[in-house]
Amino acid sequence: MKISIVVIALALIAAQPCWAALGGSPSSSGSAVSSVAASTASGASYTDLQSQLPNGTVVHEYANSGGTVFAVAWSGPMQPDVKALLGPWFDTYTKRATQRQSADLSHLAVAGADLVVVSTGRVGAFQGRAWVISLLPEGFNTKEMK
Amino acid sequence: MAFAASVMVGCGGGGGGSSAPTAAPAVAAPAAPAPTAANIARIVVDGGTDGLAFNKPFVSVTVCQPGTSVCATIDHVLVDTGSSGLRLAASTVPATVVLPNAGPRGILLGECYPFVSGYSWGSVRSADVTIAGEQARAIPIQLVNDTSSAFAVPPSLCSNIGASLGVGHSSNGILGVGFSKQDCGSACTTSPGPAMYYVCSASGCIPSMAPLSMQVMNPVAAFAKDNNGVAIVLPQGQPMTGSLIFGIGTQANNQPGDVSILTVDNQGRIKTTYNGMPFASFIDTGSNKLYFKDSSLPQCADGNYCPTSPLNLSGALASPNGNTQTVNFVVDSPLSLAFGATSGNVAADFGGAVAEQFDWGLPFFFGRTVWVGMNGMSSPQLGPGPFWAF
Repeated sequence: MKISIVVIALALIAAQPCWAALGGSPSSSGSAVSSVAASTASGASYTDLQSQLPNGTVVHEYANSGGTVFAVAWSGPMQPDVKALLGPWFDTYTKRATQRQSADLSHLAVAGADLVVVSTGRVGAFQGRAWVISLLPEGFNTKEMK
Repeated sequence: MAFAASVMVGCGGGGGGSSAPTAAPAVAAPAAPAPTAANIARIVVDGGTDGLAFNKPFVSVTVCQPGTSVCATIDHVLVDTGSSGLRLAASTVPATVVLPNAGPRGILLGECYPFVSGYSWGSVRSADVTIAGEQARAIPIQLVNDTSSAFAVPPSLCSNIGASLGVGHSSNGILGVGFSKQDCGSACTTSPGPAMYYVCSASGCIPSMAPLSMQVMNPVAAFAKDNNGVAIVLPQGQPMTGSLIFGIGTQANNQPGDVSILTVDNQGRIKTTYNGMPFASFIDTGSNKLYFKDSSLPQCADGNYCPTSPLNLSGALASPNGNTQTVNFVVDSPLSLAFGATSGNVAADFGGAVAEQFDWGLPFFFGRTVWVGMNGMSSPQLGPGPFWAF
C-alpha cells in the first residue's frame, strides 16, 4: 500500500503540469529552499520563496497572502525556465524578445499593459525581474526584489 | 570518454520554430582601406544582412571542412565580446562544406546557448576557422538552426528560456571573442545541470556534460599565435570601419602602450558607479547602446533615453584589482541620432533605459582601442587575463 502511494506520487511529479508562477501557484512548490514572510510598506503581507535551479541560478517567487505569485526574480549563471516562471505571459514575452527595438543579446525589456520584464546579462551573470502590475500588493516596491 | 547524459523531467512541450536567417544581400560596405596584417580583421559597422542593423560590428569568417580546402567565407558575423565561440546560421554554410559533428564517435552533440532575449539552438560541428590570416584548426563551432533531423526541434529545456534567436537580427553569425577559451567551461564538464550541451538522436535531445575539448571554442584561443586576447579598434565617425586585432603584445602592431587595466570578477564583471550608485557592469560589443538606469532622464516610449538636448554624463569604472577609470559619455535623443544605411548605421550617443546592470555597449568603443585579455593567458605588457584595458 505504502509502495503504491509512493509510485503514484512519483508519477504525479513526473506528469506535473506547468504551474504558472505569475498569476498562479509558485513553480518552486516543493523545491523552495527558503520561504520568508514579509510585508509591504502598506502592510500587505507576502511570501518570498527562494529556490535554486539545477543550472545554478537562484529564483525568487513572490506570492501574496492568497498564494498567488505576483512577481519573480532570478540571478545566476544560466537563464531560468522562463516559461514556468511567466506562465500565461510567456508568449507575450517571447514576442517582445524577437523585436529588435526591445531586445538584443544582453538586454530585454517588456513594458506591457500588465506585464513588466527587465532582464540583463550574459552566460555567467544573468539577472532579471518580472511582475504583473495588476497583481502587485499595495505598497510593494519592485525595486526591492532580489 | 566521459560523456554521461541524464534525463531531466520537464514540463510543457517543445516547440519554438526556427527562424532561418536570410541569405546575405549585398550591403554596400563603406569604402576604406582593408587592414592587411595577418592578425587584423576588418570590422564594418553597417546595416548588416538586412540593412537594418545599427551599432553592430561585423567581420567575415572562413570555415573549412577540417583538413581540407573545402571552405566558405561568411560575411556579417557579429563581433561579440560578451560571449566566446563561433556560431553560424546553418543556412549560410553551403552543403558542399561538410562539417562533422564534434561529439565522440557516433554521438551527436547539440547546444542551447542562452542569451537574455532567447536562445541559439543547433549542433556542435568541427571546422577549421580562418579569420584574417589566423587559423584555428578543427575547433568546435555551433551550427545554429541546423535542420538535420536530430536537431530540428529544440528540447523544451531550451525553448522554455525564451524566443528562438537564431544568430540574432541582421547577421549571419556571432563571433564570440570574450574572456573564455570555451563557451561553458568547467561547469559543463562535471554536470549536465547547465543544460547547455545535449546528446541528440532521432528520438530527441537530453542534457549532457561536455568535455572542454568538445565545447564551442573561442577561435582566438586556438590560434597558433596571437592567442592571448584581442583589441577592438573603432574610430569616431560615420560610416565606420575598424579593426579586430588578434594578440596582445605579440606583434609590432598590437602593442597596447599606456592603458588602464581593469581585471574582472569571476562573473566577467566590473563595477560602474553612476550618480553615486554602484552597479554590476560589463563592456560589450554585442550591445548596441549604453544601457544604464537613471530615472531622472526622460524616456521615449521605446525605452530609450530621449533628452531634448545632448547630455554630458560620466561613470566611474572600478576593477577588483583596485584600478578605476572615469568614462565620460553623451546621451542624445534617438530622434536626433542619424540612423539608416545612409549614415553608416552608427549612433554614438545612444542610451537605453533597460538595465539591471550598467552595460557599456558599442558606443563606448567609438574612438577607443579596447583590449580584451583571455582567461588563462597573459602578456608581458598587461599581465594575466581576464581583463579589459583601454
